[in-house]
Amino acid sequence: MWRIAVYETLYSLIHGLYTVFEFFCGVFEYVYKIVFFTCHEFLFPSQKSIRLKELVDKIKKKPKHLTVLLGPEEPEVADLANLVIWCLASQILFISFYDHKGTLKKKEEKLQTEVKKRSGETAQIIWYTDENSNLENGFKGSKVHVKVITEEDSKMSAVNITNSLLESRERDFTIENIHKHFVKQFNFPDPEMGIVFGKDYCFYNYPPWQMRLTEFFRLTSLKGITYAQFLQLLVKFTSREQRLGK
Amino acid sequence: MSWIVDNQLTGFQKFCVNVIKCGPVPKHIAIIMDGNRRYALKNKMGKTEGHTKGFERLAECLLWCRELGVKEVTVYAFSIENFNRTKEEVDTLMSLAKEKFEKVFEEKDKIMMEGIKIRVLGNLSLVPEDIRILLAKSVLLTKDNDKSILNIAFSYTSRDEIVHSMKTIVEGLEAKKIEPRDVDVDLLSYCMYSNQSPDPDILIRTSGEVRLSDFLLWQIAENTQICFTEVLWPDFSIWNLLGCVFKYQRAYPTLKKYKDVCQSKRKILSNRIIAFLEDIEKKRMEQMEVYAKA
Repeated sequence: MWRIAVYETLYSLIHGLYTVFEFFCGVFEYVYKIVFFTCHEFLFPSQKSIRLKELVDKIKKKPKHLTVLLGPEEPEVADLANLVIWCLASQILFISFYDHKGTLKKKEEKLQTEVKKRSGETAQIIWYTDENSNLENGFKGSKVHVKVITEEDSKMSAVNITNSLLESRERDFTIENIHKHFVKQFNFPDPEMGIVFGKDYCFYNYPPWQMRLTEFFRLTSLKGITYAQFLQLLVKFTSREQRLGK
Repeated sequence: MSWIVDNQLTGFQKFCVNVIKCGPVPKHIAIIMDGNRRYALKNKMGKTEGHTKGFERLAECLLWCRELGVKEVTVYAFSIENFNRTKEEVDTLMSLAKEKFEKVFEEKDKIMMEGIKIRVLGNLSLVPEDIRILLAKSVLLTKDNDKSILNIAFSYTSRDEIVHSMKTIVEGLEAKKIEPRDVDVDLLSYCMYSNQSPDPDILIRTSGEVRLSDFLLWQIAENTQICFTEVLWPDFSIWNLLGCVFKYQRAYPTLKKYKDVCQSKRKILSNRIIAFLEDIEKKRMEQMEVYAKA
């Protein structure tokens, strides 16, 4: 009996210590971010652009579609708008936000206004909302396509495709053909890169068909994400190599 | 090297296993055993030897899981995409698989005594016949065991599995075994190759890769703690495993909350669907017997 008591005590102790450790890491990260930010913004602004330039130079390969998994945290519109603007600046053509809680859909308008405010006249932001999902052709400036993904776009799309196959009497069950149906439903290319936000590494029902080859990176929190952090992730993405089973 | 290895855990390792076991223990762990070739390269040995080392590690890892009380393990042994590797390497992998599945029958007594059930997930029609016979025989031999379960994804990709599930449903609808209103996410899940298993609680991928590579996409999407680790598979140790379980325990409250939300949306199965699913399972077993007798 005493053995079990020892195990249980140790178990609680380890997890307890880890919670404390996590807390201090969080505080440290927060303070670091503030100090770092102030130093760069106010003390050595020239240093900042050099550093960012260094990062940009390291990026050899960019995803066509970057997808962001928001996790349990309630996102700030300002941070999301930043991500869109940075994609615009990095010539990433597609960005999507996956929000399993379904709250972002309600804030979408706010996000649109915020992005518009920052992007200026020359950029084109194409929103893929329920009503409008058409591409405007012939535009020469920089552009980015934005989409908010919800749980409805996830496994439900496989159900919808099954139903439409039955109705249309189509019986072509090759992966290529089914993939065409998924692409049509999803309206976006498969994401090559994904950022998962949250303490825990979990996908919360992200559309499964689409994440076959996505390279995932995790950050603990979206709050106050910096351009340097964003670039660092792109640098990490550059160093990935896809072997496709070989 | 065999499927069942003797328990070589040190006293301290056993102690730590017992401590971790005080918290929530995953029921099902999925593993992408990546890095055998890189391990071979690093240690200046042939690719074959790298793969053999990988298998040894798997046998040990299964033992650790049994010690921890993890009932079910799913491993990605061979992807449909792997058929695109050089003929030489595909042949090597196939002969290694053959050797290991022949071993199942040599070690029949031990496997039956441990109560290990072997299941194969994948599109077996693509597998060379000699190996298919062995796979089917292993499944049939162990089908009544229930102490621990090893799912081997062989000639598997998740997209292939999802398409297979859709096809099964459309055929069921055409044969009037089910009705259009029965078609939902759960029915698709029940028609996957993995329909007998709960979704994995943890996915482990070794050797620093950070993608899913078409493995259990459907099953992992909802509620699985992802562990990407830098270590190469043949170097994977019990400490890496305990680390992953520890992370799972950290995430457990959040995962549980989300799982409950998902579960609450689930409907009770009608008798019609239950009959349909039983029929699928029966057919699958019959197919296995056909394969085994070929």
